[in-house]
Amino acid sequence: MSIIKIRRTNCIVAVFNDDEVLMGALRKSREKGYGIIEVFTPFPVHGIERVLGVKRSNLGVAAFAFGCIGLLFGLSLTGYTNTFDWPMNIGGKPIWPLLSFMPILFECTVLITALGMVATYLCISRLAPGVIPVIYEPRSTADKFVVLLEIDSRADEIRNNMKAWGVEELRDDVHVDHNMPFPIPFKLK
Amino acid sequence: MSHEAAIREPLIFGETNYSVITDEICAPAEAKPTKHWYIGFTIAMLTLCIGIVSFYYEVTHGIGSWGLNKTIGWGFDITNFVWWIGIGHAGTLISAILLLFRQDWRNSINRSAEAMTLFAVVCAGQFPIFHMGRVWNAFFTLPLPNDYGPLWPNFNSALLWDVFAISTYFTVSIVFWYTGIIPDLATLRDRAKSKTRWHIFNFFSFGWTGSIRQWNRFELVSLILAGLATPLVLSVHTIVSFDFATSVLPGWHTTIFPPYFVAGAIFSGFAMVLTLLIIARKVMRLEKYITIGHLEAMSKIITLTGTMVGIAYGTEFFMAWYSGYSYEQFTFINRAFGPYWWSYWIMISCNVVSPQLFWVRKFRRSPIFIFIMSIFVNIGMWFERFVIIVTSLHRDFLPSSWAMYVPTWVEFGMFVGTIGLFFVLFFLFAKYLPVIAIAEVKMIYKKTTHGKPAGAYHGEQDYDQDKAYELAAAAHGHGHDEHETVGEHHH
Repeated sequence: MSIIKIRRTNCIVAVFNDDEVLMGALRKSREKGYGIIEVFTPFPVHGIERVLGVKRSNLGVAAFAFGCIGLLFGLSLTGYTNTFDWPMNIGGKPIWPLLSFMPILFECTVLITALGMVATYLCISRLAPGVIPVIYEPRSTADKFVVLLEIDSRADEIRNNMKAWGVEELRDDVHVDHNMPFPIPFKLK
Repeated sequence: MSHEAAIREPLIFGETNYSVITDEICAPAEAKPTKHWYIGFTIAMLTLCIGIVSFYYEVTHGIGSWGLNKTIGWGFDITNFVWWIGIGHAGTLISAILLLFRQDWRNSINRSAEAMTLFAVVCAGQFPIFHMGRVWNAFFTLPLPNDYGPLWPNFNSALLWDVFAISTYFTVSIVFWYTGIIPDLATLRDRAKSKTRWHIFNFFSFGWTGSIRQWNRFELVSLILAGLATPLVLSVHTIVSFDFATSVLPGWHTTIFPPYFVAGAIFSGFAMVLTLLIIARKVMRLEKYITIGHLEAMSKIITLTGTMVGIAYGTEFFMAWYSGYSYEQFTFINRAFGPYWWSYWIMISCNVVSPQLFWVRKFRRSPIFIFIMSIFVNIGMWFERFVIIVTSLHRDFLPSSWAMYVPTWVEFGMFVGTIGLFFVLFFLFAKYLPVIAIAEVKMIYKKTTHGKPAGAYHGEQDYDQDKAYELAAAAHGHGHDEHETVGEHHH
């Protein structure tokens, strides 16, 4: 793979070795008001979203909506086929026996909820087969913690502070694996 | 960072760090297959071939090639189906229910247990499908628009509930498993040495980067999927038990079946997880991550669920007597002392008696003992389904229709073949994918290893809790415990 170097004047990559050191540096960066564009970690570091002010995802709402759709799908499937289109008299029982449709309704609800929610998750996280990711540090999925920092007029201060807060490596050249356009940096609140 | 008590057994052994964890878990997936792997895989393939021959014979000759008769309409097929489905349940219990209960020890076994679930469900599905005889018409079970009337499946039928339950279970399990494996596939991608390998893993890792938002959503999705999979897994074996419980046959027609079947499913599933993991941890040198403590925790669940199953056997007998229903009473006496008495007593000794040996700590911390026990439980649970199905059918209300059931080589071949299929899939999984959830193990690494007194470790596996307690007490006596300062440092 060819690693191409993109010279960005407005950001640097800070690589950390340890999650606790990373958390400390992030907390202090936030206090100083440095712009943190993105953080990449090899595993979910708990509490980091609070430090960065990332809100809890709304995927639960999506899951509930898909659950409702699933239930409606189950109701219409059983109702249309067994009650409306071809009602059957089974031992004189009602032709719309909600109770004995219950397992079907439950399974349809769970199925559509799971599939719908995961599809939503993949879409909003930009995850799909074959998507070429932008990797700043190949070991960020193994043992390195990568912070993409925005550089403003306080460039030297940011660099010095990062060193003081335990950064392992600071890079001006943003190494990007693979020939991909740089992502549009979004600033965290 | 949160830390746990120094005397609690660590879930990861020895001096390590994030880099070592990644290397060690990725190593088997990146190395060339070992000789052991080739031998195992070849045996599994040959076993699968027996199955292919048997399945072919069954499809070309019809259901008549089985030992079923007018009295006994279900035999090996449904026994194997329920057995395999039950085995699958442990994977979902570990991945979903233990996640909801925040049991950290699940993190090193959930990946392989869930893979096992998928493979077990694949094996289970073959039996009801091939029992249809004309397998090419299997899609008739689905409510597809058609020109036959229209002809719809009957949604009041427990067998159709099964179709929905099993297919939903399989789909949700595969989605859950795959969602979890994406970050680890990205790890393998970023470690790839060749371009081809990079492209393969990049395709399957969906462009994962590990950004905060991705992880944030990842955790929420895992939690909600766990919340969905928990009632789902309970519903699956409940619905499987309805196949029997909604009939009017003595021995089947009982309300105890759903909880009894679910407990039995978890029981047999944990046994299969242990069978696989005790071999895998040894062959793949993963003793550091799948510790004796993990095996012990699973053994405890085996004892719990085995005892629940035992209570269910007792309750059935009690209810047969208490109901005053002579057919029910006869069925249970016939189970224990009729022509199939041996299968009943194999079931009792394997499922009820043997798990009680795990009350002895030494036994439940011995991998060899646990391995033998897990095989016993697998056998016992197979016989449980055989007993329930065959002994209830072979002597029903009319003595003139009483019969015996003897399976043919085709049925044996099909059963053996699915075991081969199961192991073929597991061998492929163990070779090409990370068998331990790398990211999830890293998540608990600091919490579980920091501050554990070094003197309490024995080798790479065992941990002496009494010694740890002594050392921890001594350390406290001398003042500041080292790991406490780590926690305070950055706050």
